Amino acid sequence: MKTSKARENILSKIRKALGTHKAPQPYPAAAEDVTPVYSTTELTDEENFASAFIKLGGKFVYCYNEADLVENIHVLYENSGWKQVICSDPALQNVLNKNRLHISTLADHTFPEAEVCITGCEALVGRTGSILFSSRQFMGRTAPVYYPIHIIVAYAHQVVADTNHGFRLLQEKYGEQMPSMVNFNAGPSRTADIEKTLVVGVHGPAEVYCFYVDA
Amino acid sequence: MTATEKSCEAPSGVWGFYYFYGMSNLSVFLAKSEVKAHDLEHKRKIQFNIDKYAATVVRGKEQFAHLELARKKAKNVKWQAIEHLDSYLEEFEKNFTARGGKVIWAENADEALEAVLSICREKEAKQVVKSKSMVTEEIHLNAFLAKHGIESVETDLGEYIQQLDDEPPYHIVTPAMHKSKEDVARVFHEKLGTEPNLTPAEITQIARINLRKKYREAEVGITGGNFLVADIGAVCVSENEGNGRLSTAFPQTHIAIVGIEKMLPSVADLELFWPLLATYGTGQEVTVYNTLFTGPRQEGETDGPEEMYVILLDNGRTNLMRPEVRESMYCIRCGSCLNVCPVYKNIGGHAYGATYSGPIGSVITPHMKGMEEHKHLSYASSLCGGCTEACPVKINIHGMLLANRITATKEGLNGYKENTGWKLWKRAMLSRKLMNAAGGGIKSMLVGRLFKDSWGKRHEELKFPKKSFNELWKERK
Ligand code: SF4
Repeated sequence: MKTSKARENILSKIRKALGTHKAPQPYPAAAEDVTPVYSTTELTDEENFASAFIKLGGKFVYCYNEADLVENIHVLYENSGWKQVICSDPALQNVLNKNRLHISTLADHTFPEAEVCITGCEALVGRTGSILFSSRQFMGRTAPVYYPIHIIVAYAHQVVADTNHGFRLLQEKYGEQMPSMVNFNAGPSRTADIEKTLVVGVHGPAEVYCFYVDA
Repeated sequence: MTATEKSCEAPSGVWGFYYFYGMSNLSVFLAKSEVKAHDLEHKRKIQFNIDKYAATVVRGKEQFAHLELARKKAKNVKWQAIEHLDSYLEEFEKNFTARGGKVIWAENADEALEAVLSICREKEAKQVVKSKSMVTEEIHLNAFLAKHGIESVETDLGEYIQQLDDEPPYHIVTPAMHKSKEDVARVFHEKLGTEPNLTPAEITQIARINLRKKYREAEVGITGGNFLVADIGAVCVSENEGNGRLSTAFPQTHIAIVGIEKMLPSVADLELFWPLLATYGTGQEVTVYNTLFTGPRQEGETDGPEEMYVILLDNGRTNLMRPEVRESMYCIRCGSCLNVCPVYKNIGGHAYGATYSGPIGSVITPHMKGMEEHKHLSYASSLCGGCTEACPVKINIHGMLLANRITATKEGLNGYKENTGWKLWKRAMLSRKLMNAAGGGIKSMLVGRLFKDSWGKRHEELKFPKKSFNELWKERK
C-alpha cells in the first residue's frame, strides 16, 4: 500500500489522542437493551410497505399476477397520454411486450427523452416504504432517477421488514459481487428549500408508481 | 428584502468581505450579530422556517417507540467509532480499495484541493457537478476550481440559489433558509433573467432544466458524505432531490470528500442512523435518497463512473480528539441544535463567520480553526442547554461550550482586561464582607466599568439590588 505522509500524520494524531485518554462507553445499559426502538404495527410487511409508500407520496397499484400487471400498466398508459415509455429491465420488457404493450428498451448510454421509465427493484422495505435499487440492475444508477415518471415493478417475495433485511437480501443475492451503488428510495424527488414549501420532482421523478405483483 | 433591511445591512456578496476587512473575527461577529439581531424581517423568515421544521419533527419522531433508547444507542455507536477511529479508517481504506476505489488522505484544505485539482486535470475536466456538502464549503472548493478554469456548479436547489446569489449557505441543512420565496424569485430574475415573481414550483422546474444538461456534460461529480462505513468500505450520501444520485451516475469520475469523523463501524448501523438523521434534520421519517457507494462501476455493471476517489479530510478534526470536546466528533450534522438555539434564531447563520454555525459550530470551530481567533464563538450561547436536548446523538453541546470557555481562559486568551475584570469580580464575590460593605451602587459600577466593552453594550447594565442576598436573608431571620 502506498504510504502517504498525510495518512501517517492523521493516524498518529488520532492514536496519540486515544492513548492519552479513553472515553468510557456512554450508555452501557442501552448497549445491552434489545427492545426494538421503532414503533410496530399489526400489519404485515406488505401492508406496512403500501401504507408507508403512499404516505411518502408514492402511488401503489396492487396486481394479482403478471397478467393483471400488464393490464394495469396498459390502463394507465391509455389514460395518461404519455408519448414515450421505456423499460430498463430486459426480463420485465419481455413480460410487457409479449402482451400488446410496445415499450422501447433503454439502450446503453442513450437517454431518449421519454416521460416514463419502468424498472425492477431489489427489495421493498416494509417499515419505511423505501424501495431498494442497485447498480447491478440494468442502468441501475441512471434509470430510476433520470425520468420524470418512474414505474417500479416489484414482486411479493421482494418485501422485507426493515433496512438491514434489505442489505441481507443483497448479500445473499450477490455475495462477493456486491453492487458499487445501493440506493434506498423513499418516494418522489422533493425539496423544501424555498420557505419549506414542498415541491416534488426536483431532479429525480415527480411521480413514482409501485406495481406490486402478488405472485 | 425590505428597504430598512437594505439600508442597515452590510454589503452582501462575498460576505461583505471588504466591509469587514481589517476587523478581527470578534468584531466582525459582533458587528454582524448587531445588525441581524435587530433585523425584524430576518427574524420573521427564520422563525417561519424553524416553526415549520419543529412541526414536522414531531411527526418524524412518531416512528420511534423508544426514542431515548435510540439516541443512547446512537451515541454508543459513535463512541465506538471514534474511540477506534484509527482502525476503522484503515478498515475503510482496505475495503474501499479492494473494490477499485482510491483513497486520498488530506491533512488540510490545501491538500484536499490539490488532490481534486490533479484529478480534474488528469480527466481534462471543464465542468464539475457538485451535490450539497459542508466539507466543500469548508475548503472553499468552488472558488478554488473557478480560479483554475473549472466550473463547479451546485446541484442542490438551496445551494444553487446560494451560488447564484454569491452567498455561502446560511444553514447546514437548509442553505437558503433566510430567503423568502420572493427573495428567491428575485435572485432567479436578476441572475437568470427569468420572469419576476415565479412560484417555488416554477423556480424548481427552471433549476431542473438547467442542471440536467450539466449532469450529462460534467466530467467529474463531487459529493460529500454523511457517513463512512468501515466494514463494507462505503460512503453514504443522503439527499431528497436526486441531485446526488445524478451527480454520481453520469460523470465518469466521482470524488467524495468526507471528514474522518463521519465513521460508522458497520453497514448495520444505518438502520438506526438514517432515520435519526432524517427526523432531526428535516422531520422526515427517512430521506428520499439514501445511497451507498462502495467504489467505481464494477465488472458487469452498465453505468456509473469509471473511477471513484474518497478524500479523507482532517483539516483540524484531530484537534477535536482532546478529551473535553471529543464528543463533538459524534456529530451527524443534522442541524437540529441550530434550529432550537435562541442565539442562532437571533443572529442567524452568517454572523458566526464560520462554515459550521450554531451551537455545534461554536464548539468545533475554535479547535478546527484556532482558539485565539474563534474563542468568542463559545460565548455565542446562553448555555440554556436546548442544543443538548435537541441532539439525536445526545452530544453534551452546552457542556463543551463551557469547556471551551475554560480552555480559552486557561490559555489566557480572553485578553488582559477581561481577565482582570473576572478576577476582581471574583474576589469581590468571594469576600462577603467586602460585598455587603459595597452596597448596590458601587457593585453595579464595578461590573459596568470592568466589563464595559464585552458585556455592558448588549446586556442591560447590571443593576444590583441595594441589599445583597446575604443581607436580606439575615434581616428575615
Ligand atoms: S451536534 Fe447534534 S444536534 Fe447539532 S448538528 Fe450535530 S448531531 Fe445535530
